[in-house]
Amino acid sequence: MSPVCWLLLGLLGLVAIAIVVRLRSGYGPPQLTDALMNHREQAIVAAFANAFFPPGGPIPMSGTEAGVTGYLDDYLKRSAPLQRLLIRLLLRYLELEPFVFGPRASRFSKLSHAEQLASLESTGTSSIYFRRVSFISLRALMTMAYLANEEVARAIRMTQSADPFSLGDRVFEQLPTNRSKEHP
Amino acid sequence: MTTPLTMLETTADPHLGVRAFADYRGDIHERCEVLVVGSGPGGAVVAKELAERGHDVILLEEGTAMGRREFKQEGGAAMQRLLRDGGSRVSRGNIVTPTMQAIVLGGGSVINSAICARPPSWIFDKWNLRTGTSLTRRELDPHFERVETFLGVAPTPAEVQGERNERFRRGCEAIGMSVEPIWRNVQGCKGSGECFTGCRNGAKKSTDVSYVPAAIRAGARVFTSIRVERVLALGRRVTGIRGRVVEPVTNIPHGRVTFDADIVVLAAGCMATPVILQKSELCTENRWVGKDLRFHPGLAMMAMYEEPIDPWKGATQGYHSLQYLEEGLKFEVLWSPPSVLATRLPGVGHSYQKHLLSYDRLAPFDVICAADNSSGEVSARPGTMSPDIRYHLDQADVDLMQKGLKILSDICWGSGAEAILPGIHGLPEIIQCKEDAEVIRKHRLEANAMLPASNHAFCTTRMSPNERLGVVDESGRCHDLDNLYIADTGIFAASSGVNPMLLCMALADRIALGLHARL
Repeated sequence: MSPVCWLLLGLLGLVAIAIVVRLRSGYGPPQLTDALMNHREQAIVAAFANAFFPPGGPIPMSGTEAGVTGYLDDYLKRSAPLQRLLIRLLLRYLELEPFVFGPRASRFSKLSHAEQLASLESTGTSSIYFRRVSFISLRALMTMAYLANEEVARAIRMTQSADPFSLGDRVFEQLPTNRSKEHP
Repeated sequence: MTTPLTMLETTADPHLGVRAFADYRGDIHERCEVLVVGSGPGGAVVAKELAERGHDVILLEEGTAMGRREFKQEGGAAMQRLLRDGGSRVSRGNIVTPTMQAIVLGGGSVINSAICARPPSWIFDKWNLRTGTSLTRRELDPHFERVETFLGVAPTPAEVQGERNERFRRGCEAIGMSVEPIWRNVQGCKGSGECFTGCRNGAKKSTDVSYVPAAIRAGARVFTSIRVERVLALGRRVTGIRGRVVEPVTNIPHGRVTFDADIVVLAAGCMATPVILQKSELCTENRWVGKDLRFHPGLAMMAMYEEPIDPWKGATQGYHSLQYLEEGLKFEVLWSPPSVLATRLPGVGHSYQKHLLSYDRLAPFDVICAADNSSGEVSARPGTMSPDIRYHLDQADVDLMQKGLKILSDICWGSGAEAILPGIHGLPEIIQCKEDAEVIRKHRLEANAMLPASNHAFCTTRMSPNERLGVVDESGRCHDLDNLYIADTGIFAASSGVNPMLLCMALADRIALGLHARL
């Protein structure tokens, strides 16, 4: 092989290393101690959690405040190895999806909030079946985690009583009300 | 004459005598006359009926026994504890469809909504046309009767229906559709709507609190946390099974187990039974093992009301309409863990949160489709007992489901909904008036626009008197083996039309009585 080829190969190698380093850096320190997810996965989950459930919205509690990251870590710990791997791949895939589908070539967790919403909308309404299934899978995980928080459950007046008819007609009337009747 | 469950029987510790993971030390080797694999609606019935007739029965279950205090209402935790693959099991093909199979003592009866419906007689005519079976509804009626009497099957009482169910009833009545309270194997329902996560009130008479304790009282031995990996055979006779003790929830294998038996009855479910046969290299000449998988794909639609209806209050599924059953459609009220259903709500960010705030004004209704034109197959994956499930939803069935969606929308408007959420790709996320809902009929739907759930599964070891058309004969015995029987929904020759549990139990009752007569 000629020296030019070696040089090109070397340059390609350096570019690949730079891409890997860039993709793996800038995630910040871990939020959870004693966690199964590493700091990158925690940051990815936190980004999705706050994109789906931003702070200061109709339900004031954000995704991370509701403990979505911790819930998902516990969920992964209880999962069988194959399910664990699939969930991790799902998170990584959706984190990198904006590089291909926009709104700009960046990791999801690096996008602005508006861009994150645009990215999720695009995934959820895509004409590509696989993207929609990925979106539904992520939303299912996020929603289970968010609604597992008691304060969130109270905010939406969700009761889970073994004997709901003994609680009277409207069991949530004494609970704080902040529900909006307007359609989104 | 079948004796109904008594209150004493239902309130005493139902799992007394069940051997569990903590009881095992090292390898296990046992022997019995009849070995039943699987404690769900099929296996538990066979175990009880044979034990009560004096046979030495062992019942094996891969899951554990869950007491009512161990049931978790939170969706994620419940699915991980009660369902295979943590609830993430899906089929592949032209659509991805979630399909839930239980891994717990009592099997699917612990996590279904206790619907007990007898299939109409024409269902058996369809079975006859497909595989030549001669079974009739009249022949099965005494078995339905026995199961219903034992479980105390009765219509859902009006006092626990709640507004979600009542809206469905009103919707059907408003458009002139038949509607009736669902008959269920429930006694003392409090309307908690928690059937899918296990009944905390112990009201649902799932087999772990009904048939299994009765089998134990009659002398059957019940082993949980036992995974069957191979059925052992010599020529045309099976001699028992080989497997592993598995740790609860994680399913990590521990000691080896061998159970010798004169008769083996596989009732591990429509997905697991063909995998066990394939791994055991049994019935290899029979082309129907694992083939012809049938589902009842189901789609939900949310009705949104002006005022709160507290959907979490009331029986899980209290009413259904069978008016379109002959066309292949069944309409029901639906409920499941709220966090799972919430996934259906549209939007992201603040818009998603706003929809969550309207949750107390929402009622989900669903349509299930007989899907006679669609089929799939189940095969064993290398190195695991998990099935590889493939399914193709035919366009003719998509068209039928689209018709079902339109009727469902009419029910919603008839029930007083101010908006509906169809949950179909390509349709508006929210439809605000009945006129706009015409789009549901006009839009050309394709299979991958939908995300149906497919929890009724059958036909993977289908029944036929002809060994070229089925795996088992009408007594439930495998054509290729003299003493191997199957007693789960896999033996259905075609769709049951209605929810499959009661039919599975009636067939298991018939198989058990037939087996007793031959032993």
